[in-house]
Amino acid sequence: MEEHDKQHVTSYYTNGVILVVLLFLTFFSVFIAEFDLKALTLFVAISVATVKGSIVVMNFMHLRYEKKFTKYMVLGVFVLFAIVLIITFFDYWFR
Amino acid sequence: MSDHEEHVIDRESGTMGMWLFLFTELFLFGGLFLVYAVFRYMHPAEFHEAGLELDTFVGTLNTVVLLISSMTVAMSITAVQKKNNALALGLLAITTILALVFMVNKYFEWTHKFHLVIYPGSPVLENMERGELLFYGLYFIMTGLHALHVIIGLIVLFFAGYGIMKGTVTSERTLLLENAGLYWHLVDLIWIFLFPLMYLIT
Repeated sequence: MEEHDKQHVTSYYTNGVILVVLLFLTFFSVFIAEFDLKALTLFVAISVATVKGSIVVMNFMHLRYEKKFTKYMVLGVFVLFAIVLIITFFDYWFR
Repeated sequence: MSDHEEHVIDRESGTMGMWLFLFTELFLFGGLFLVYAVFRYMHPAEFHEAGLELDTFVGTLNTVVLLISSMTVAMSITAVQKKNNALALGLLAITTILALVFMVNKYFEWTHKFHLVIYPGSPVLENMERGELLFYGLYFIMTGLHALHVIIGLIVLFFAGYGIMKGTVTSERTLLLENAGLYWHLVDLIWIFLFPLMYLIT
């Protein structure tokens, strides 16, 4: 019983609202892709995807309710990937 | 008391173990995203051309289908926590149907490419520019590997559903369903990045 108290119960309503936000962002990114934003196209698409991804990780994957340690662990992995990406590109930029 | 403590530790380590596994999955796809980024940087015009061939409508439809399926899985956890097992099973059944819709869409998308004689090693592809060849190579590998994960996710969810029916997944013990859900959301998360990179940035 006590274990149950520790767990967070996300309401059906909250889950529904999160889906609506995610769908809105999806249609927004499809809509904005119709315009020629030149160099910004990639930036906008990746930004919207990152926001959507964060919403999924924080809410659907319940990271919001996990311990601080788990949160930093997940954040650390994404930072690690960003570092790998940047270091790889240093190689290609200054070749 | 000791029983209860063990249960708490079990839950925490179970969640953490699942996340550690998901990290390996993230880097499996992360490596491919890295390759995509480098090749796109080297062949921007050809990636642009090749990306135009993909059907944005099908891609958008599949994004919507996967997002809804993520919500139904999240809701099934809520249902189990509220002791509404019938609803939880119903939601998992809807998830299964949505996953099948996704796979059928993917099937038609790929067979359409095959009709255009575009598949790895096809004569049409080999005569294309190098950048386009690389784009299609990544397209088939990344969406194919993702589709494989959809199938695995379905199997994992099936076990969670079986657990609900057998009574091993209850409002007190949701770990199996939660971890199955985490896997399913990962599949969704990867698609969230695949969709703009393959279908939108053209």
